Amino acid sequence: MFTTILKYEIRHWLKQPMTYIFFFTLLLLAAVSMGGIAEAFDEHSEVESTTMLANTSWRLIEVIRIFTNLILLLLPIIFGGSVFRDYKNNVHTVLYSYPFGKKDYLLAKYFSAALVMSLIVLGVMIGIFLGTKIPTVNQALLVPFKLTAYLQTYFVYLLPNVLLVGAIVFSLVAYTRNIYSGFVIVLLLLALQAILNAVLGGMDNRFWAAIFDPLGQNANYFYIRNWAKTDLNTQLVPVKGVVIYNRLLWMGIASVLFGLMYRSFSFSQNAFSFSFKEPVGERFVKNNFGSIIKVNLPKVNFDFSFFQQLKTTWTLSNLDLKYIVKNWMFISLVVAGSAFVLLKGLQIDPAFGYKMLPMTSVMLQLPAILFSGAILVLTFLFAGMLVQRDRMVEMNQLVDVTPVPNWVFLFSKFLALVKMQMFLLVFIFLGGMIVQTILGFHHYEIGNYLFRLYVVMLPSFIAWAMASLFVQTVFTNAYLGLFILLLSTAGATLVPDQFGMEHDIFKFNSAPSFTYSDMDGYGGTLGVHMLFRFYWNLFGGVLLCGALLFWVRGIPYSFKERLGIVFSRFKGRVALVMSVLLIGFLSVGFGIYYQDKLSGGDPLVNFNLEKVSVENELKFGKFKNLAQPEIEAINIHLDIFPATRDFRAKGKFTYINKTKKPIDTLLVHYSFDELTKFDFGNASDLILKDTVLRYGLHRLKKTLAVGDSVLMNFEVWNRPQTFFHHHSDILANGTFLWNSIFPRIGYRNAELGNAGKRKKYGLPEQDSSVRFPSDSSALKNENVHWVHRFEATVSTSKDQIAIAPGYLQKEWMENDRRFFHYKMDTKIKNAFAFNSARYEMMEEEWEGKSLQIFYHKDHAYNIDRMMKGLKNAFAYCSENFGAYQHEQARIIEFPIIYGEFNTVFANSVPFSEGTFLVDVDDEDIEVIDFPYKVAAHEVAHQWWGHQFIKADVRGKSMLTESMAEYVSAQVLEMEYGIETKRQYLKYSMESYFNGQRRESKEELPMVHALLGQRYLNYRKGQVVMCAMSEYLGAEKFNQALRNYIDEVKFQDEATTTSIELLDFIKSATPDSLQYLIHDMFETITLYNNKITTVKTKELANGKYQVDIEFFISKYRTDGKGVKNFSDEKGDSIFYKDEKSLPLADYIEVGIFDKDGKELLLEKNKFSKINNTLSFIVEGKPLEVGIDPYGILIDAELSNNRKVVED
Amino acid sequence: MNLTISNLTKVYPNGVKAVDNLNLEIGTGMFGLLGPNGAGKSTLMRTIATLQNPDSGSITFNGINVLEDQMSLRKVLGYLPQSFGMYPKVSAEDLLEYFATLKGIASKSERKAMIKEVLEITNLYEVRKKSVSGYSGGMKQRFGIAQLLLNQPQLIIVDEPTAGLDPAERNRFLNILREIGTHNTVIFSTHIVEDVKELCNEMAIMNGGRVLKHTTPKDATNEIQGEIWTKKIAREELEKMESKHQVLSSNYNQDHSLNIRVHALERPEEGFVLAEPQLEDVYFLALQSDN
Repeated sequence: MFTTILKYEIRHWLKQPMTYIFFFTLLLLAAVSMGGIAEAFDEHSEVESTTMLANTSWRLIEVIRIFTNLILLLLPIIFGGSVFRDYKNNVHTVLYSYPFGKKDYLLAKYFSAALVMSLIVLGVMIGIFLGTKIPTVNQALLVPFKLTAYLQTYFVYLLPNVLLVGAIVFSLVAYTRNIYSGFVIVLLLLALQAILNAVLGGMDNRFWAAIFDPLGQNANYFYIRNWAKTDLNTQLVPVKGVVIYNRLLWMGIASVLFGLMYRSFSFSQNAFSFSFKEPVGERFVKNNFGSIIKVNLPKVNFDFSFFQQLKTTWTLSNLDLKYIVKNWMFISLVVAGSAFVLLKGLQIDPAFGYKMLPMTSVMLQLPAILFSGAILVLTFLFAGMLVQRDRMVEMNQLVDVTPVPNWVFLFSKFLALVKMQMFLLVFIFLGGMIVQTILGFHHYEIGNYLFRLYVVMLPSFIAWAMASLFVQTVFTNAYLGLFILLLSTAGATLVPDQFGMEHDIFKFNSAPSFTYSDMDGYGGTLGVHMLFRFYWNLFGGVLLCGALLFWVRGIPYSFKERLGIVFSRFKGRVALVMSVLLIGFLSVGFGIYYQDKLSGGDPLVNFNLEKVSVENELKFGKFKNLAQPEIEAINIHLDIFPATRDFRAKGKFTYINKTKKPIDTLLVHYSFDELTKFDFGNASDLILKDTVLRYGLHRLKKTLAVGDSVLMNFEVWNRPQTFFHHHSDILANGTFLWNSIFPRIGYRNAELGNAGKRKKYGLPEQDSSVRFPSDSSALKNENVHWVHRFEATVSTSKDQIAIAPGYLQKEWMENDRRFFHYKMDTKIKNAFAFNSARYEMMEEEWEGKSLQIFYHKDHAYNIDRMMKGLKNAFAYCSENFGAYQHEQARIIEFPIIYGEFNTVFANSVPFSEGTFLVDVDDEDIEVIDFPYKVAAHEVAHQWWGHQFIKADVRGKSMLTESMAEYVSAQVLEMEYGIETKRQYLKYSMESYFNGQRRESKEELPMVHALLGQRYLNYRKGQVVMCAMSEYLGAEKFNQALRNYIDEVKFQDEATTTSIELLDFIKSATPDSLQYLIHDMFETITLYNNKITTVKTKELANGKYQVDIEFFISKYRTDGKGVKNFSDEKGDSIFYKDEKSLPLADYIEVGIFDKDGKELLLEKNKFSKINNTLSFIVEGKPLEVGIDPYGILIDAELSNNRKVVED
Repeated sequence: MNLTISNLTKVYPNGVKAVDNLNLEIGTGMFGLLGPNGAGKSTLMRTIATLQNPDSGSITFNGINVLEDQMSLRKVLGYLPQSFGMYPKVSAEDLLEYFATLKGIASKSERKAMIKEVLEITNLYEVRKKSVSGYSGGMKQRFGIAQLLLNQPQLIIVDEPTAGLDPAERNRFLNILREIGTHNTVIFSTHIVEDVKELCNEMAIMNGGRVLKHTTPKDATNEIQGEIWTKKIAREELEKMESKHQVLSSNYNQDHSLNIRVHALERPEEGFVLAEPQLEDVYFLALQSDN
C-alpha cells in the first residue's frame, strides 16, 4: 500500500505546474546569484590572492544560507500541502475508510513530499553550477568544479534542512489540519534562529549557538570563522564535530515531533482542537411538529445610501479585525515578534561593543525595524485570509448576493488591515516603554513614539496593505499570494536595479531615508520622505482600484472571464478615481524625477563624484607637484543662521612661501556645494577659472619670494535650501561645519583609486603604493601644516552657542544675534570646525586649565564620565609626555546625523550624540566605560597627533591611533583596574583577528600599516604598545615615548614617522628583548602557546606542587596569512609534530586559585617548544596558564590556560 | 411579480452548454424546476441570482434588468445555494446580524426584531447562541432560509434545498417556502418530483440546458390522462417490453416481479391497465422525448 500511495503522490506532484515553477525559479535565482558573485553582470575587478573567490566550498554554503529562507517558505506548500490537500478536498472522509494504516499513509505522504522537495532544491545546486558557466563571468574568480563541495553542501546543509524542517511542518499540518500552521512554524524557527544569534552571539557561547542553530549555519561558522582567506578559497569546509552534532540534534527533534504526531494521528473526521471550557453534554430533541407557521415579517427600513454603505464598511472592518486578532496565527506571530523585540530591546549581549541607552530613538530603530517585518508578513497573510475567507468556508454565494457593492467589501478589508497595523504598532510603543522601564530608564518620549509610529511609519504599511489586497485578489490562493508578496519585497528593489532604474521612484514603497537626532529632530529630511510615502500611497490607491476591478463576485470560471469582467467594470467612478490616482502618482513621480535628475537649476543634482574625480585628474593632475606656499594664519568671520539653515563666511588666509624657490602661480580649489568668492587683492591676475571643477589659477603680479607672504580674501556661503535639496551642514540645532568648505591652495587630491575604474576612464595606472617611512624623499605632508595664528568670530541665533578652536575672547549680542570671538595662542594644525547649537555647558578646572563639555540638555547621562576621562587623561599624559599646549579643552556634542564618530581638533573634541548616549554598566566588566575611554583617547591625541606632523607614509597612524589607544588602555586601568584593561585588550586582540580575516589586500607589519587598516592601527597597535609597556615596565616605556615627543614636538619643517618612534623604543629595550620589537612591529609574528598537561599534589607542609607541561610555538605570516616557521636564516625548531621559529623568548607563566587569584606569575625565558616546569605554591591551584593574560599575540588564546587535573 | 428569461445561453470553458437558448416566464407563486443532475438548473439559478454571467440572453424581474442592474435585484433577492458553509465558531444570531447589516437594515433595533422573527419562523430561536457550523443538515438549511428572509425578498431562489433532509425537516422546510411563496416568486429546483407535486403552482422540466416542458402540475397530469398504462411483468420480460413500448418507469414488487408504466395512446397489449397519471410520468416522458 505504501508504494501505491507514494507513486500516486509523486505522480500528483509531477503533474503540478507549481513543482516545475519552483524548480526553475530556484534554478534561475541561484544561477543569477552565483553569476552576480562571479561578476557576470558587472565590470570585472582585479583578482588578488586574497580576493574571496566565487564558487568555493564555504561560498556555496553561504549562497545556500540565503536561499534557505526562501526554500523554507516552500515547505508548507509541499509538505503541508500533501496532507492538507486531503482535508481541503474532503477526500479524507473517503480515504480514511480505505484499507490502509496510518503508517502507510503518513510515511508515503511524507516521503513523496520529501522526494519532490529534494528534487526542487536540487535546482539551487544546478543553478549555482550553471551560474559559474555564464560566459561573462570573471574566470579569475572561479576555482575548478569540485563535486565534493557541491555534494557536501547539498547533503549536509540543504537536504537535511529541507527534510527536518519538512518533517516538523508535515507533523504540525497533519496534527492541526491547517496549512498555515506550517507557515507559522517556519517563521517561528527563523525567529528562533535569530533569537539564538542574539542571545548566544557572544564569544563564549559560540559552541552552543552552533549546536542549537536549526539550520546548521552557525555550526559551519564555528569552524571557518578563524580561517584565513587563502584557506577559505582553497579548503573544503569541514564536516565534523559540532556540524554533525547539530545535524543529529535537529534530525532528532524532527523525528520526535514526527513520532508524537504519528502517535496522536488518527483517521478521524475532525481536527484536533482544544478549548478551555469543559464541553457540557446536553440531550437535544428537535421539535418536529406544528410545522405550519405564518410568515409575518416585521416592517423594517432598508437603507442603501452611500452613508449607510460607509457605516457598513466600518462595521465589517471591525468584524474582520476581530477575526484577525482572534486567529491563533496572528497571536503566535505577535507573541514571537514581541518576544524578539523585547530581547532585542534589552540588548542581551552587547558583545564587547557598547550598549546604547534605551532612548526612544534607539527603541524606534532596530526593535521597530524587526517588528515591522512581522507587521508586513501579517499584512500579506491576512490580506489573503480576508479576501479568501468567505470562499474558504463556502459562504461566498450567500454574501455575494447581498445588495452590497464590491467596494464596501474591499474597503472593509483594507480598513481592517490598517486597523491591524495600527494595533500592531502599539506593541512597538509598549515594548519600547516596557524595555525602558525594565532598564530603569524613565525618560519616556510618548510624542516621539506616536509621531514616528503613526505618522512616519504607518503610511509605508498602508501602501503594502493596498498592494497585498491587489495581489491577493488577483491570485485567488492566499498562500500563493503570500509567497508572491514576500518575493516582491525583495524584488521591488532588486528588479529595478537590474534595469538600471536605481531611483527610489521606481522601487515600490522605497523612500529616501530620514535622519533623526534628539538635537535636531528630523531636521529637513522628513518632508521628502513623506512626499515619497504620499507618492507610494497614490500608487497603492491605484492598486486598490485594481483590486476592485479584479474583485471576485459570484463564480467566474476562468481567468479569461475574469479579465472580461475587469474590462467591463472599468467605467464610471472607479475609472475616474483610478485615473486621478494614476495621474497623481505619475505627476508626483515625474516631479521628483525632474527635481532630481532633469532640472538644471541645481548643479549638485547630477553631481557624479566619479566623473568629477576623473576630470579633476585629467585637467589639473599636471599641477600635482606645483610648488605652492603654505598656510600661516587664519582669520574667519562666520555667521550661522540656524532658522533658515544658512551661513555666510568671509575671511583671510595668509600664505608663506616655505619652498626654496620663488612662486609665481597659485592654484586654488574650492567647494562643490558652497558658493565661493576669493581673490588675492591686487597681487594676482586670474588666468584660468573652471567653475565646474572649482579651480582658479592665478598668476602673481610679483613673484612670491622665499619667505614672503600673500593674503587670500574669500567669501563662502551656502546655496539656497530647497524642499528637495539641502546644502552645507547647517542644522536648526547642532551645526557642525568643517573647514573643507573654505578654498584651499593646491591640487585637489581626489583621484580614483580603483584600478578597474581607472582603466575604464583611460587613466594611467596609478602608483597606488603609499611610500615607506624609510624613503627619505617621502618625508613630507602636503595637506597638514602648522597655522601660527588662528582667529575666528562666529555669530549665531541668540539661543545658541557657537564654538570654534581657540579661547573665547569675547561674547556679545548684536542685532539680536549672539557673537563669539575665539583666538588661539599657540600653533595648531590647519584642521578645524565650527559648532553651533542650544548647548548646556559643564565646566571644571584641572590644574588651572578649563575643561568644558557642551551637551544637549537631555544628554547629561555620561558627562561626568567624560569629565573624569578628560582629567585622568590630562593627568596621565602631562605627567608622562610633557605639558598640555593649550589653556582649555572642550568636548562638543554634535547630532548623530553626521555619524557615530568622535574626532579631535586643537583644544576641542567633537563627540557624536551617540557617545553621549552610551549605556555604561559599572557592574559588568565586559562593558567598558566607553565615554570615559573615548575622552581619554581624544585627549591623548592632543599629544599624539597635535604636537607633531606625520610624514604621509606607511605606518603613520601608529603615531596617533596606536598611541591614543595605548593611553586610553592605561587611563582605563587607572580608574577601573587591571582586570578591565585586560578585558579591553582581549577585545582588541579579537578585533585584530577579525580585521585580519576581512583584509582584502594584505596585512602589513605594524610599522607599515596603511591609513585604512584600523584593525592594525587601533587594535594590534594597542596590544603591542601595551605589551612593550608590560615587558619594559610602564615607566621605562613612557620615558622612551617622552624622549620621542621631546624630539619631534612642534618641529616646524620636519615630519616624523613610525620608524622614528620605534627607534626611541628600541633604544630603551634591552638586548634580550629586542626580538619583541622585530616580532611585534617589524614582522607579523604570532604565537600559539598551549598547556598540554598539568598535575598537582598537596605536599606535607600544606603547600602544593604543580607540574606543568606546555608547548611554545612562534611563527610569522606573510600578508596573505601563509605561515612560516623559519627565521631569516632559515632556522626552525621542532618537537614531534610541532614547529616553531627559534626561541629565546620571555613568557609569563601563571598559577591561579579557584577565585582567579594569582598564586604565581613570573616571566621565564624559553628556548624549546616543549617545556616542563615545576612550582610549589601556597594555595590550592585551580588553573595554570602560559601567557595567561594574552599579552602576546596568540592565534588561539583559549588553550593558554588549563584547569588542573586531580 | 414577473421573471422573464429570454434566449439565455451559457457555455462553460470545457464546452458544456449548461444553458441553451432558454426562454422562461415565471409569475408569483411557487415555481418548481425539475430536472436530473447536470440539467443546468444550478447554472440557471446562479445566473438569475447574479452570481454568474451568461454568454448571451436577458433576464428581467419586475422591470429590473437583472444582468445590467444586479444591485437592484440583490435588494429583493433571497438565495439559498445547493451547499454553503458559515464562519466557524460564530453563533446563528451573530451571523444573522452580519447578514442583516449586509442586506441594508440600518437600525439596530429593527435588525434585532427581524432576526428574532426569522429565527422563530425557522424554529431556530432556541439554538440561536449555538454556532451554525455545528448545526445538523436540516437546521443548517433552515438557517439558510432565515438569512434569506432578512431582506423580505420578492424573488426567492432555492437550489435543491430538500436533498438530504429527513421527512419531518423536509416537510417543515417546504411549508415555510410555501408560506413565503404566496405573495412572492419562489423558484426552487429539485430532482424530487414529490416536492413539486405538493407545492408548486407552476413547474418546468429541464434537461441539457433547455426547458423541456413548462406547465402546472395539474395540467401536466391532465394532459396525459388516459395515456398511462401499467402492467405487472416478470423481470425477464422487461427488455422485450422496453423494445416494444415506451416504458416510463419500472419498479420492483416484493415478489421480484416488476410493475412497469408505459405511455401509449391506446392499450398497448393484453394485461395493461389504465393508470392515474402521476407527475413522475410527465417528468420521465419529457426526459425521454428529449433523447
